[in-house]
Amino acid sequence: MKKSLSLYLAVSLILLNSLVCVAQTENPCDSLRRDIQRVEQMDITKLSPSLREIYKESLLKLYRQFANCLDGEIAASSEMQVKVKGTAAAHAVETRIVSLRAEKADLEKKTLILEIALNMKDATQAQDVSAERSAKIETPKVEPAATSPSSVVSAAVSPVIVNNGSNGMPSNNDTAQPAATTVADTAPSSAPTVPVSTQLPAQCSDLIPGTTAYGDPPKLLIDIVNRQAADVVQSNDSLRAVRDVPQMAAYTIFDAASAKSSQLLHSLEPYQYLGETARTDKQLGGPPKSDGAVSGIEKPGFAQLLGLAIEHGGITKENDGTNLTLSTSLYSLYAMGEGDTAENYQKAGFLNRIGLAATFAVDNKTNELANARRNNLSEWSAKVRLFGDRSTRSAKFQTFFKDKIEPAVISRLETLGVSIESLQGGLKSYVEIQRLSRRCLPVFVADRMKQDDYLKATDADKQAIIATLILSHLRANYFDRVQRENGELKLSPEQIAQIENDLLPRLRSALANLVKADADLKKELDDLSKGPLATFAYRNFRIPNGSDYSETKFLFEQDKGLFRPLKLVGNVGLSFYNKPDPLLNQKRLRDISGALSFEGSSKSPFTEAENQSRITYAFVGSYQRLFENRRLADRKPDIAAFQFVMEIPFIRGLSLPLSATYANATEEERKNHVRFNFGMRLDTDKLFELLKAASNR
Amino acid sequence: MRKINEIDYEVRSGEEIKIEVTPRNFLNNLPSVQTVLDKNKLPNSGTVDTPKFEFKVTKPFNDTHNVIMEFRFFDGTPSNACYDVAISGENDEGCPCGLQVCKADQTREVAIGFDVLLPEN
Repeated sequence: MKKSLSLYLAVSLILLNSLVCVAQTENPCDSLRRDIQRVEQMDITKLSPSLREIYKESLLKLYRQFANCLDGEIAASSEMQVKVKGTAAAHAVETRIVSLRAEKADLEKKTLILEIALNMKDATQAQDVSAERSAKIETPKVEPAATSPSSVVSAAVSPVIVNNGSNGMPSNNDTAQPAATTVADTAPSSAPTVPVSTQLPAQCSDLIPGTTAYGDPPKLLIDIVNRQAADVVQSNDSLRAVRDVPQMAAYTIFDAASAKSSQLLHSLEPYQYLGETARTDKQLGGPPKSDGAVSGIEKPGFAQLLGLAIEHGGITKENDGTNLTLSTSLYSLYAMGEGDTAENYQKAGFLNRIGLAATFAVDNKTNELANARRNNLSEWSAKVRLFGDRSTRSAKFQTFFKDKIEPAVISRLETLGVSIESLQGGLKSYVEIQRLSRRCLPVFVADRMKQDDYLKATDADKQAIIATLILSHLRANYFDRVQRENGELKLSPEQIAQIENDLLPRLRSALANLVKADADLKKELDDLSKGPLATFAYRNFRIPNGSDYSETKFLFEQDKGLFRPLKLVGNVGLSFYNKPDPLLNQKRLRDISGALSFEGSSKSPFTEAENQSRITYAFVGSYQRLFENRRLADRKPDIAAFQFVMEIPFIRGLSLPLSATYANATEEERKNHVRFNFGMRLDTDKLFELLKAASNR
Repeated sequence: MRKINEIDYEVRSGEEIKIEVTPRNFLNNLPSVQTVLDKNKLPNSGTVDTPKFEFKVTKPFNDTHNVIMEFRFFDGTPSNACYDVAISGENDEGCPCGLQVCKADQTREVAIGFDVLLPEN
């Protein structure tokens, strides 16, 4: 009772003091500001309900007086702004007005909460006001940044105050720590600082723009922040900095909660998205008979339309220096009209089984597409996939993913959700601070992106600047608020115990399950790529000084067969002349042919760490019965060849394909021979993936 | 629903929210999205090719629903593949609402906040 009485007297004295302060020489607003701060910091948890009512009423009176005072200051400052326009003092006055307006907006919010608590305003009215305020935030006006690192930020007099739910009152936990901050207050002299703007949208004044370096952030947090910073730079969009606020906030709070929780969190490795590695192989290029080809066997797969190709007409091009091959699929032509959505892909049905390609002789080295004309056309082809589905769309893979992988992915997301829910339920200010982060951090980032040093920086430096800003924001608004005595996010011993003994162990377990799921997924994808695949191919050869002919082939590939670890590829086909020339001993049937290849692979010592491309090698044997060569003395009808083919990947998507071939004859000459071929191949898709992986680090 | 920015929306209690995902340029690669509302899995009420996630705002005034979505791009997915995410509620303001997650992006996880701040009808 004695304590209650003393509190009552204290409130009364402060109120009385504030009533007479106008007569004193001190700035009345400063005096009121200080009084409000003192009243807000009182511990009211032990007050009786009637005394709490008095407390609320007293505080409300102070708020209203302070609002009037601020109005006067704003009016006076505005008047002054007109007078000093164009002088050196203009900026300082403008900054002052922005700061006062931010303070006024903050005060209105606190007043509203108290009015609801005192039943002076119903919640609907409050929501209307809230909505109105929120609408203002949608397009916050960000003025060009003032870069003085020592300037006092606009939040300097703006304590965080939130509705604590039951009585709408600011509790001790909510308000005890004013956000009054200057760079000098928070930044150790040796710590790197982040330039801050002095002009912020009103609600953002409840946040502390980060000014100090985070220190030693956990790897999990660094990974998320770096990814977001990279996206900000790449897209030039500050909103990309807040795509994962709840996760960043939760990790920061866990890091700050206790030494044990920090240690636990630091021991966790960043989450790697499942199912994504650098690509290992791709089959493109001309058929084996084209002059520049190095392989004597043809594989059953056909070029899927690469994404970029759709934007450029639905065609993929491959130039090996001798031949230009343009590839497409019927689906890609369909997608050009209908759009390439996953739904349309399914609707296209049989179209996605058909691939088309045309090969042109290259005689114009400067403009490669100029070679794509009728005179240069050496062949065109169509392939139809008969059976075998190596795509992640296959029913078998979808079932595997749903049953074995998805639960692990969901488990981690649910663990994050449980952590966030726990923080939302247990920390009264958390919802509000997290909301403000989502809304205001993009403003801080956009502000930073306008500054000269950012504009002049390299992409890597820009990413570092944004990452530092995000981390310092997390440090100031979450970490410090957990660790500060009476901080807005101060955790109780029970909450710390929950983080140490429940939430973090759950997260560790979820991440460990994902590592196992990742291994299972890689094995499944590997198996998927080694299933049987069969294709029927039709190819039309255009012979400038001879007879055009067509070839049909059955192409088969099996990776998980008797010959493992070698992959078996087989071709069987026949060709026929469109118009046989009897003078050249030609009949309708030109030839029958078959080829068999055994392929293997091994690790490459020449590639980057994240490039999983392997050295591939193959032993190929082929036989061809060329009927027109029968009964010709200088030619052989039965042509056999043995070939060794190898492709060695190097850095940056470059690879060296080479081959050595022994044949007992050619189609034109009865003479055995040995031939060597080599070239250089650049896989731009792989290059893109590698660059992305490198920038991820 | 009122849009604040692409990952922040104000909603009213009882409002039905729909999140519809359109995967583009995936060719024969499987699109895959997993979603959690607050702390529980949000089931896909659409198809693999047109994922759809729906929920009703049940939290009280001034609270927030968090929807966390993880988007996947399997190896071999074209480099221009994207997920277009369309978000809708009732009497939407500031929409069309939503965002895009592309293979070129490094962040594959998005947390969308639905703040219960609008007055009930």
